[in-house]
Amino acid sequence: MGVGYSELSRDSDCSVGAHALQACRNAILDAGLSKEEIDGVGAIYSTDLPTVWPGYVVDGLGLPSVNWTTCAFPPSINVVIEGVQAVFSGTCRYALCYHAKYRWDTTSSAARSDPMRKAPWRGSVDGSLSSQMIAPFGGGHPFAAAMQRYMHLYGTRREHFGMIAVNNRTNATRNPRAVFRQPISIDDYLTSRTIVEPFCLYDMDTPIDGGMAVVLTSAERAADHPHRPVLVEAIANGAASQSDMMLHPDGLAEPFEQLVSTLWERSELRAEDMDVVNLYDGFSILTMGWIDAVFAGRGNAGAFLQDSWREQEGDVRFLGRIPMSPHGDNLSEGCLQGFGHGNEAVLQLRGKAGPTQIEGARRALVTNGLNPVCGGMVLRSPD
Amino acid sequence: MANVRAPHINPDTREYWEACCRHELLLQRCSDCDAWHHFPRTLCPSCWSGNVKPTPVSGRGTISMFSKLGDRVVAWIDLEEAEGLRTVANVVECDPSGVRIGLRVELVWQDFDDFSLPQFRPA
Repeated sequence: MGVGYSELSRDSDCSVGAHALQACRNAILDAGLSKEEIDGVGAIYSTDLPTVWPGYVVDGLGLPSVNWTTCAFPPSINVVIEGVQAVFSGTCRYALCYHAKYRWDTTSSAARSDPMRKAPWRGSVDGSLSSQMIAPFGGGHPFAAAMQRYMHLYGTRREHFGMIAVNNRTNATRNPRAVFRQPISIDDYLTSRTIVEPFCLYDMDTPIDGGMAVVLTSAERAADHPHRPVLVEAIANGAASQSDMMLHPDGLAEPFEQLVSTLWERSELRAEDMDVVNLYDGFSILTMGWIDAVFAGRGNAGAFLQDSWREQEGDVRFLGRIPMSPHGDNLSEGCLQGFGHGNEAVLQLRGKAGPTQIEGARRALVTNGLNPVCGGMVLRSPD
Repeated sequence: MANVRAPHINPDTREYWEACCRHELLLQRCSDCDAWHHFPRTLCPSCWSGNVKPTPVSGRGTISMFSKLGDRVVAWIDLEEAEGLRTVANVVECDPSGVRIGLRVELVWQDFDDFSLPQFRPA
């Protein structure tokens, strides 16, 4: 319903980000829509980096209500196909799909003498296109700073973050796939090596070599196949209008709340109906943000964890009943950037999780991500 | 400070870094709706106007959060011009142990051979 272009050229004086914003703005205006109406944004991973990922467009156009985002592998038709699927499935109403390119020195030998065309970070996504605004200062660690600010604002203590790390490790001790199965205690967490203040060793996910995969189909087709099917009840993403990961790493609440409220709008289920919650743990601060968004409200996750903590077992039961990440997640099973969160939920709801099985699990919440890339699903067993 | 490298510039950031060489800290402000934004873009994220102008800021702000890496402190600084207007820089002329959230800071220029960095020191 709308098409847009930036001014195409061999030698524009215009950044790749500016081209993306111009084209997107023009498409939205051509469609006669307002910024509030765009609820889906899809990009293409560039074959020459950096990719202008969807958070850049959400941030650059100040889009306030985005709850579907994707970044597809090229060629560009792939993001349009995903947009069609998103609209057809009812996942979003108006999907903005785009791509932007730039003649970087990595792709054009004529570009090598042009300082404007020096690709910013070799081999890096830099999807906010802002790495070079931070690099001269040494970079720092945005999420360590975000954890610091969260503790300052809300009085959350390291022990609370420790409960996340210990919960996940305790669960991993029962998971034969997990790379780290040695139990740890809160004391171990508190005395562990500082990596970047306030991150300690156990606040950060575990790099591994590994692969994970899933196959999806319609409920009708799944009924004919051997495993008990697990149904996707609701899906959503969340993106905040301040989505620059380098500049706003602490901006977790808005995208997370966006996502979670969209899931509940699409499902009759609520947080308290879940039997398992697999909340993303790329860094423990992210899990803290998810606990706020799903259960506790902004800044209250620390107290909520404390109320949910089982000292004897070294794990949590939210609302007295709901476990978190029975497989140990990124922090202990191993980091596949959240794939394990989904796969474990499927195994749980099939009743096939083996040593990590939560008895009678029929409803699961899975979340992945940070600002500006996050996604989530509600899964359930058929009635 | 060890290993400080000049930023790679692009058409969005060129004016910003050139102004830094003149010791001017200029952030984008929309001539149509007055909104500030940072990092520099060619469109106003608020009203989508292309009339954004590099505009001087006072250089005064407050540390919102920070991270120490090696001998450097990287701080996220909320500037006084507008709610949510933020930049990133090192905190200089200060013992790292003296840096805290809420510290009021002011702009100070740090010169290298062919570029200058806008840094901040306790005000």
